Amino acid sequence: MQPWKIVYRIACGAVLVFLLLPILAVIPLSFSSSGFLSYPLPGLSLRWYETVLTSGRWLDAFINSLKIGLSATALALLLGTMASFGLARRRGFVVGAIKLLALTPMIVPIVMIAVALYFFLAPLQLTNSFAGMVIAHTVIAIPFVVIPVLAAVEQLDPNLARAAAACGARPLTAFFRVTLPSILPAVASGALFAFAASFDDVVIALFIAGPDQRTLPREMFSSLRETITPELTAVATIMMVFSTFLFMLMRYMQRRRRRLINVAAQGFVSA
Amino acid sequence: MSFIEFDHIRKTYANNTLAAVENLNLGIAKGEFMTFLGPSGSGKTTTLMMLAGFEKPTSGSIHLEGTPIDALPPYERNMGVVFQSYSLFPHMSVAQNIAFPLEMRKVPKPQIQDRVAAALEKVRLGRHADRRPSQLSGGEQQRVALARALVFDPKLVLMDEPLSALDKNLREELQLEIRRLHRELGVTMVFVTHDQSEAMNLSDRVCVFNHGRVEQLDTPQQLYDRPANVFVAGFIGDNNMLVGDVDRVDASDEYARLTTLNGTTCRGRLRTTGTYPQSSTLCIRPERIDVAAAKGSLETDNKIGARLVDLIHQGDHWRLIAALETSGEGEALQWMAKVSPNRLPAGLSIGQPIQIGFNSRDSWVI
Repeated sequence: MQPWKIVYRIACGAVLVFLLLPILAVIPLSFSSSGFLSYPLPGLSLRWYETVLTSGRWLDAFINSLKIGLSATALALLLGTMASFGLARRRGFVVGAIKLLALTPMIVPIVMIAVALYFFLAPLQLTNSFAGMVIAHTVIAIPFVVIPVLAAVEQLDPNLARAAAACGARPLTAFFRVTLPSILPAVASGALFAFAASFDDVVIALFIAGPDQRTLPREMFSSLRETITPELTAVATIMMVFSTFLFMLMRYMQRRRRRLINVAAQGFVSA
Repeated sequence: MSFIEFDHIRKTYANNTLAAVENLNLGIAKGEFMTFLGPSGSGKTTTLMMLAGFEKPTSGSIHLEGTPIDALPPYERNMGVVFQSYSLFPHMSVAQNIAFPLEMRKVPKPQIQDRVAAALEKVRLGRHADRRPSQLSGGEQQRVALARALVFDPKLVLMDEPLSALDKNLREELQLEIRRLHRELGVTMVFVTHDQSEAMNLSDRVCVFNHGRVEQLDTPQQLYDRPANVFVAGFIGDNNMLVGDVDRVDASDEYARLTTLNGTTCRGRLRTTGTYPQSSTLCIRPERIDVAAAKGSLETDNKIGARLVDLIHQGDHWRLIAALETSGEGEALQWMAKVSPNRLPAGLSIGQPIQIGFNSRDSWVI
């Protein structure tokens, strides 16, 4: 093997190790029988999982995260998809500026956005409220929708909507029956990443969320400050499994959708 | 009044001072196969899109069966449209694509199935009903698009360069298919193309567009045999041209003599009697030209000296490229002649002087 090829493989391996190892290191700790976060494990136990699942604190936080995440995702999908249609295949200064603005939450440090949102939402009495959290998370989720959906819309055959209209479809029917299904894979991946952005967030939650909107990451953050026990790693492991499950689900549905269309098509004719 | 009337249609775009379509007046008869032919940017597609309702005329009005349709949105115009990009719905099967216009018209389910099956049969794609568009070839996809445009018995079928993305053999096969469908269904079809042979193959009448204006509206035969102007003469089929001044007109007002700058004189038939521009163009079709190796053996009334530049065998005919003799300066004008093998003089070699001849009655002075 050529020497530089060896270097290349080592570099690739190093990237994977540095990405995965810190995350995976947490998992065994959650099964520790001791109250300290340290290796080697003195013994295996499920006591931390028992604590997490039986105490209302974590379940409430999980449900809060879910509610806020789903609402923010829905709102980001609606706004991001509409923005993508408005921005696609247009040039000019204003369009460029709006595109940049839509992507800003991804570029600007999250703390700045959190501070800005705090000062924006506070006079409107929206801090410490569910609506405030949803608005704030929608802001950070929108770029994750706009990036894939805008790309998909730009690649869409511009005559597709015209073909639907020529078939007699009114604009809304054409959108829901033809245009949207054609870009659905992009919308789905946008939705997943938008949800992940909200589900992961701790910084905005620290600024905006009130006692009733304690999200899972925020709860983890505050428990960090109180006492560090493997309870935290158990929550982290559960979160990881949940996120991985969501991602796999999306992959499965996309593949299944492709198959379903073929099956439905056959059923349509034989029926 | 015709089935479709374009009445003083003008279309301009905001970022362009030149009109895309200028003062268009055009009638299309019921059941007719009309082709809009022209180079790119000539306004043919814009005109079709205005008829479909996707573009709004800047001024003027379009009538269908005597009623203006300007306020009607595309989805209420009841016209089938076929695009160059096929534009099939990728997430639906072939059968679902064809069923879509019927669903939009709230046709009962059992009826939809019968009509989809019949439409698929019409375009010979019965076996592919369950496939998805991405599983079909380009030609098959365009047949599906055709079936989707025909299935709801539209008043009118519009086609925007539907065959341009296909290779030559497939294109000719589908041309025959479209001819057959037009004959069988009797539906009015408006077809846009930049390919003149396609226009000749398909159309009852052809409307030749250039720079947003109609150059000529006629049957394919008339376009070829009696071009109205130099643009049509050059765009439809091959033509040899000679620019010069008309310096003598016959007493009958039917023939004129043309003298070029370098002194070549030809006699040709006047395309429009009475008025003609001082500077005119003589046009002669390559297949109307006779060629001889020596002077005096030609029986035509026009004879021009030339030099043989190239001689190409094309199977059913020989193609001769000849440079006209000029007494003056400048590059020699090249003409092309198509000569059938039995009329080709023996022993021609490239570079030798030849005689080109044609009859005045076969040419046009435009």
